[in-house]
Amino acid sequence: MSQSSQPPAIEPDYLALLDSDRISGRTRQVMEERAQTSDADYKPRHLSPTAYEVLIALATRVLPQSSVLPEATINLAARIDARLGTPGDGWRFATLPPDREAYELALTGIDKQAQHRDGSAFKDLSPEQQDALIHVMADGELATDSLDATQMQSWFGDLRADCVQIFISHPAVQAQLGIDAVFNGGDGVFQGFVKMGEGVSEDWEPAGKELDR
Amino acid sequence: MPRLDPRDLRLHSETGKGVDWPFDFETLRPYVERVEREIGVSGPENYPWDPERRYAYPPPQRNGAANAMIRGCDALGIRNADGPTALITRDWGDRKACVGCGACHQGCRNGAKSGTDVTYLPLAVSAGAEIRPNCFVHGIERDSSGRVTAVVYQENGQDRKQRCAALVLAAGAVETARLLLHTGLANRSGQVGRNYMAHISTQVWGRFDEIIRPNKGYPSLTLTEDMMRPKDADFVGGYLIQSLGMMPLTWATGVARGRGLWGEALTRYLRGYNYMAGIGAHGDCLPYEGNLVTLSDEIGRAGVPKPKINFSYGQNEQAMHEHMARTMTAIWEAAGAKDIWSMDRAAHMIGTCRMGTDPDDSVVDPVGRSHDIDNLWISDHSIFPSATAANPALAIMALSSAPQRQSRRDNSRGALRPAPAGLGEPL
Repeated sequence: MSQSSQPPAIEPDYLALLDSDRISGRTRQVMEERAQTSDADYKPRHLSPTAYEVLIALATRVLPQSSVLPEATINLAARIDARLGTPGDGWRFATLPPDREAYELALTGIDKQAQHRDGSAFKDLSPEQQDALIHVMADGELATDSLDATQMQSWFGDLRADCVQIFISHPAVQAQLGIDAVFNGGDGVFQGFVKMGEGVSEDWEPAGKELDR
Repeated sequence: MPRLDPRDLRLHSETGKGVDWPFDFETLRPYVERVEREIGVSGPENYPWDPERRYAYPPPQRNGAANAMIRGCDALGIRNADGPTALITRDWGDRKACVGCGACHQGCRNGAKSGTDVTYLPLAVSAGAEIRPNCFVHGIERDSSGRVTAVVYQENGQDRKQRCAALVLAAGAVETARLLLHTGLANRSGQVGRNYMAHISTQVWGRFDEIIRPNKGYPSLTLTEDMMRPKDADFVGGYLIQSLGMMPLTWATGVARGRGLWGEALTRYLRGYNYMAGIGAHGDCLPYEGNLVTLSDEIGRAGVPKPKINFSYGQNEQAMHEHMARTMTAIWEAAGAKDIWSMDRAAHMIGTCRMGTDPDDSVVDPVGRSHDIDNLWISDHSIFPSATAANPALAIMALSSAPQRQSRRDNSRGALRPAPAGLGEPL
């Protein structure tokens, strides 16, 4: 799959594992799809252009990626927009409308609050101003025209979940963190894990970069 | 796959809270043991809380979280053991021994996990059953005497009808109630959808100095039943504690929702995945007036209104959650974990069609048959009168044997085929 992946790049050692017999063909295909998705020049299909712009700025503050992916980032906003066209996991807060509508209302609501409080669109605020507004939302005190402060707080939980799911399931991120969950067995031989326990690794297991913890 | 605690079936007699089951554990025990034998369950040689209990397979290998929990519990004098686990550790027919791949919650690839896909469903098919996937039942037809004659279901957008001599619903505490509320059947008691419960399933996570890789091995092997009736409890009922491993996506979702992190703090925490281990509880839950499943005003698949779940903790659940968080934090501190935090969560959907002897106060009788319609049965966790602390899977399967027993005694109604002979003894 090394020939076809789009940025962010996957570490060569990890790519070799993705091409090895320790992963099933079906799982490899899923990882490939995640790596092949082109985030560049994505045009929103489910959110309005305004809401999408807010989402791009918001996702950058909610889950900054540079400490894991210094070269190129995953376009979280693009993948969330694409996700909003799927049935999702079947769950939602009873107090919120369906996901696509909730995102649209929350994001445009945040933009209006930014205009109202700081006199500028959310995407044009300074990072400090953006964080201040996010803090108000996280604390359950940001009411917007369509969603009240409690609804916004619940929606913010949904947004955080969407961001981390897209991020940690990307092969480039799993490579950086040394996560080997997808290498739990191939189609021919289903290896599983032989060595496990604290401080125990198998020879082939990816080390992951030395990240300060 | 822990068993029900006999005390949990008599919670009302013991405490005046909740409701008793309409039979005691000894009545259910033969069915529990039969299920364990038929599906294959592994467990320790000596189970500290039930010395006479035996399991057919030895436990799987311990992972990082399992070892950490043993260390923490031992330091605090809390008894612990490898828990009973619905997987096989030796090959058995077409099924292979567990290889510790860690994907139990996602799906087992070699038949080691004793799920219905490798146990009762193949048995049913071999006995003549036909499985029709991706079908959605939205109607139930009855004759002039009120007995069920057919179900109406949607497949690829087309309505189809299947005539039946008897109907067994097994769609779970939300969907079984949803279908009955939608059709208006079996609800003379007004109890359908009521008494919705969940397990109080608090988790505690911590970071360890040594690499853990929480995706490896059977996720929740080490177990203690010492908190089933803790001496210092300020709540009724009790809970089990198990070690916890987790796949990255599930774990990250819990972090994002449960710990409330965002910004650089969130990224920094996610980076430590390989060094995290968890410990989690499942505890009993009382029924409350306001906790229920109803039909929402939004139309869902096949025109059936979407279900709406109302659920929140009462005082008992809040007190139990706090006790769990305190106890598991102490275990994790004793195990050497750092940056420890607890996540408030509930798991497993229970109740909504409870069984009982009084038709005014329950939906089905003690063997799972509707009080109102004599060829309608419910065979899932919606019939549990109380939540109990054990994972519901074993009790669901054990209770599912009861209708079969009844139908053999009751041939005049010709309701169901006789019970299948079973899967036989493990090799």
